[in-house]
Amino acid sequence: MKLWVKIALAAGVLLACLGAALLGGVYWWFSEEESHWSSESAEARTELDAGYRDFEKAYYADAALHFERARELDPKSAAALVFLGITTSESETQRADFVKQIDALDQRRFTDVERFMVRFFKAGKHQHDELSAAVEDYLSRHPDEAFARSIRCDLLWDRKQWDDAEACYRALLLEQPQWVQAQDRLGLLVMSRGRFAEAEDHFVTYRYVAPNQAGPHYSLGILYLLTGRYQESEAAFTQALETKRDFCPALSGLTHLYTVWGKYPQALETIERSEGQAACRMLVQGGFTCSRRLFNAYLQNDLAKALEVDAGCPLPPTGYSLGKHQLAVWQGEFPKAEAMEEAIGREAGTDPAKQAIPFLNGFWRYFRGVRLIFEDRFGEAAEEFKLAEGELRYWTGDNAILAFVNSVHWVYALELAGRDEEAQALRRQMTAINPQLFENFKIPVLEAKLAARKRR
Amino acid sequence: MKKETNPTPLLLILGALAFGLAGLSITDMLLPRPYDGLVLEAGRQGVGMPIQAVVSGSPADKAGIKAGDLLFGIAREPLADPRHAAQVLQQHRIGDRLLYLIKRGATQPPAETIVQLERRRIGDGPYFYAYSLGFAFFFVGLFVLVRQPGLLTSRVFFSMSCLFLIFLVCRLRPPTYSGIDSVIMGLGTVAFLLLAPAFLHFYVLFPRPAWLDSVAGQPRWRQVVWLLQRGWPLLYFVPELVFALSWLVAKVRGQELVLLGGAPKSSWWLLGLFLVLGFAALGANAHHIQSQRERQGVWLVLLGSIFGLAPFVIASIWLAAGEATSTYMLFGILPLVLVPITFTYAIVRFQLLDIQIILRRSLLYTLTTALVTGLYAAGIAMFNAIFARSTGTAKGLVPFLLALAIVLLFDPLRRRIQELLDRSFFAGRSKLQTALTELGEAMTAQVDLQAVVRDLVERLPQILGFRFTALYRMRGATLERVAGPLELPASLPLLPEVQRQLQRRRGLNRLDLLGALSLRAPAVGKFVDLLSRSGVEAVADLASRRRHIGLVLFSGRDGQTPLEEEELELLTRLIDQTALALETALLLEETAQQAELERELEIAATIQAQLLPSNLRIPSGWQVAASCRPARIVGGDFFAQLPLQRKDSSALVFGDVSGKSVSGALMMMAAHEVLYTLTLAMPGLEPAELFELTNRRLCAVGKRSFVALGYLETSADSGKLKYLVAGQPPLLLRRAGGEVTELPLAKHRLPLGAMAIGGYCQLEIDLEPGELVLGYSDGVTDARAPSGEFYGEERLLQVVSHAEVTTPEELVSAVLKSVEAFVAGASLYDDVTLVALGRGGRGNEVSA
Repeated sequence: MKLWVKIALAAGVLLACLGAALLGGVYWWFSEEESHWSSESAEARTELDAGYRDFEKAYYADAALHFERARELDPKSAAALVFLGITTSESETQRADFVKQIDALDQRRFTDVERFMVRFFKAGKHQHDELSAAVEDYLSRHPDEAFARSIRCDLLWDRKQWDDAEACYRALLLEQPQWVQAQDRLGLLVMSRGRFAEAEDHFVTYRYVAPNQAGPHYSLGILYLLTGRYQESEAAFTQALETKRDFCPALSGLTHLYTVWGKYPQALETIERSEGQAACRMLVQGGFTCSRRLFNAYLQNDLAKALEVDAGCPLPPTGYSLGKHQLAVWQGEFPKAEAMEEAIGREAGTDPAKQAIPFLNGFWRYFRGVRLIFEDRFGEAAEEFKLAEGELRYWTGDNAILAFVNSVHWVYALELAGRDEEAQALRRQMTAINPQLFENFKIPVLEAKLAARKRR
Repeated sequence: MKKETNPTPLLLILGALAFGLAGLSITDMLLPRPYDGLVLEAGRQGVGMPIQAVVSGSPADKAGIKAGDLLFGIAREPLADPRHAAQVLQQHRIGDRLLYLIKRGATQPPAETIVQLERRRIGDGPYFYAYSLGFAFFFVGLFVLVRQPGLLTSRVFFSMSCLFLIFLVCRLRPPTYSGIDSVIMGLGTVAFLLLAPAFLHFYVLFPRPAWLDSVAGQPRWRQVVWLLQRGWPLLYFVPELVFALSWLVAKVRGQELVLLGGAPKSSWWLLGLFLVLGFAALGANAHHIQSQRERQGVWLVLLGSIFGLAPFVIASIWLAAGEATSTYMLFGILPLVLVPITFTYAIVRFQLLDIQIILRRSLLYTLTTALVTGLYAAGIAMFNAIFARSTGTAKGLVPFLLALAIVLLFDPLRRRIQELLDRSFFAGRSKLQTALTELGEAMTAQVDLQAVVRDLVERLPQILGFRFTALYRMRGATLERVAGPLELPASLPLLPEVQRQLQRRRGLNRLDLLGALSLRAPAVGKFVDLLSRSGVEAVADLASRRRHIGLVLFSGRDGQTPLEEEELELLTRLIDQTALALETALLLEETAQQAELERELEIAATIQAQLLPSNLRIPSGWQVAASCRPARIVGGDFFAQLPLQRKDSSALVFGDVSGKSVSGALMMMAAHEVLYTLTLAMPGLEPAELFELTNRRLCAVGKRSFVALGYLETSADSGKLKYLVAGQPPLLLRRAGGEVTELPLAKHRLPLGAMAIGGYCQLEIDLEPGELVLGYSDGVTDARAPSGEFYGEERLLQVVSHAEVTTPEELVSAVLKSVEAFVAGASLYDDVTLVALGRGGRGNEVSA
């Protein structure tokens, strides 16, 4: 072998080793040094990183504290402002104020991710097209960035592209399992598709990562409620409330639990408790507590009590209320009920913001179904419940319970329509999910109708 | 002029780097780290990682975690993959209590459990086994490089060993997530990429590219051969190119590059391809190699490589990557040991790459005994452990019986293993050593010189595989070829430096070692060149205790490996035995020659004695006596009566020839005959002229020999004595009163035959009656007593001057007696010649 061959051989081996070491070193150096944030203050960047980690785990209050400190350390930090805007602004006004502050910054200093976040924040939650464009543009350059990917998944969710949304969340969690909002969303998705065990894995993981948040306990409470594990559900809602005393969804969930469980007094106590929480004023203002009181009375077949409650409950600005609608049909005031149905239909069809709510149409169909039962148009009622089921399928929080109630009404409608086989099949289907459902959750008015029919 | 460079230092630097890197990797792994005892399935990704095993007694085991459970998170960190799990562990300390999220069964929800971390080193049995193999292979490679640094194959093999070490230690190790982790694993990947072409390169060359040679001249193959012989460096860049292309393709497709064991699938395909090609090349080499010994070794390496590497690639890489589990890793790594084992065995057993290892039988036997003892101890311990918990009679009896069985089996097992080792490693050697021993014994028993020489130059080369051996015997200052090829020089100079060197180092001396002496003595360089040109590679001194006999020259061994130390020792012993046998044979020959010589000397002594006159004739008025006693059987002294033609005159000569024994006798006879012939042929010659002519003749005859001569001439009835002394001691004159004087001498008195110059001059004196003249040779004064004392002139003068001495006869007799008494029965140092003359009497003819 010639000398140059020997030298080339040895040099090739050595150079390859040195080259690899050098590349590794360079990669390590730059990967360590590169920051997502444009802030020149190292301390501010550290605070931003800490805030982002909390943000990933949905500890928004803690995250906000870090972002606030980051803004104090570097008032020109775009990331600090955007994150503060996301985590603290409760109104459009506050959001607009943050936007104004962001616009005052020198945008030439922004990093790519900051530019994306600013665009995202300015677009707002409901500007789907703008959001989608911003996300896809950014992900084309940074395909692995978790925040952008989570937004992409949320957009798919909002667009009711359930399969894509599930795949999106799943892919995100493979690499970023600490992204708890994705865990929650994916849990809800698979729960809505009847994969409760899988959903529980996600909720438990969420609870494991963020035990100090009420969210995972609440999601687990809903899951346990739906699957008939009422004690565990009660414990989960209680844990959520221990974590956050004024966590209204948990109070609401607990109300539903007691309602479905047949523990009407406890349900009323919980309703009262939520009415006493300042944080739950929206529930009161929205007529939700009234509605639940009315429903409570309806389930106890206590019309006097219902009327008493109704007297103290004005119709919410939306023009409809589940409790009032229920009372209307119970009393045979069908035009009144139809007026409320029209209000929902209007809202679902005209308000673009509400269009994103997947269950509004389902809501409308459920109202219609309930009215049709009381008009003894059972077959039509069953069809409405069936269509509502399709719309209400993707439960989130309280609405999961409505889907459940819808299904129970659907069974009643089928039975009253004499479609016993279909009713039995649906009943078995529901019992497989929640063995206790039909034992505890009975609607006396409909039971009476059923008994009358059987007598005939 | 092409300058030869030595690439070995560069390779050694590479080796040091590889060794250092491996050491760094292992040290990093040996550092104590927080440990939970979970073994997660490698490569599995997703929420919930299957737990492959839980180490017994580990923190996870104590926490109730079971194999088959799913791990969801550690310390409130949900996990994406095993690497992530290890990273989370690294963020905690030994003793920390961490909350694990574990799911058991498909229907059970994940549950939280506390695991307290303990101290533990990373890396379990299979990994350490892999590292040990890496180091074993590295040291085999280093050994091969050190033993054969000039061989390209050994350099490629060493490079391959280094890469293999880095790959096994740095690429297969479980990640530690320390600072150097990515660097080490990155270099492991680089080593892997280079390993594939290194394998192919080595297998094509090993032990030599016989199949390439066989097709080198054929046009169809020329390009391939050229590429394989010149284009190797390019081959080493192929894996990097494939890696880069794979990355590029993935990038263009917008996919992530999927890595298996740090490299894309394409790299593994390439490794498989290179290995298959390498195995084919190795098989072709084995097929084309002529030597059966080498062929066996190459087949063995091929089988070891196939059965060692193929399971590794399949089980540890493919299955591990495809199934995303390390379950099969052990099955892949275990057979890997075949690679270093078969290679080492091939070197030891078949001397591949011309590497010969001296395998000491005693060491192997000791190891065997240690191994069997270890097995014995392990067996006893195992039985004790098995029956420790049992009760009843079995508890005591069964272990005892089993222990007894082991004890009984111990020795047969040990012997069986030793027999196996003997058959495997020492059969050929044993035969060779037996043959050498038998040859040595046969030579020692020989008394026939020719037979010994025949054994040396005919049988020995056959046994040891030398092309020839030759014997040179010492003859004076030269060494003469006695036996051996005619191409060798007939004679060699005997150089003291060479002789000293050979005496210092017994046995076989390599010629190049002698060549080192040429700096001090240029003649040695010529000597070594001469031998080297004749194909001689080693020289041995042939010497007995009595003398140096000569040299034995050895050629190289044809197609054979160098001799082992044990064989060299045997050969040295054989050379000593040869020297002894030659000495015995020579002694016998010399004894026979001596006996012949003595017989011839006796004949010569008889002839010499016959040359000395039995009677001396002396004119009237004179008396004469003479005696000659040779120191040996044949002497150099003489006396004679010359045949003078002058009436009433008588001439006596007495001589002493330089040199004794036969040479002296021959010179004496020559001098005697010249003097006699000249006197007879030229009657009128004066003594000085006679000496002149005799000197010329003797100068012509004896180059290095001369004759001291005395001449005495008397005339009847006259006291006049003519005399001439050349080289002899002065004549002594004893007066009647006992006074002794030396007679005057001529100026020119060089012995005859010493120098071809004339100028001899005769002298005359008149002797009175009662006066005596004594001529003597230096053998008288040089006679030695047993104490070493010389007889000397004083002692001679005392005897001559003694009062009782009145006649020449008495004088000669007295001097002889005195000398004999002085030497006290010891043999004379030199011939003793005495001639005495005196006035008085009627002339006579006396017996000498």
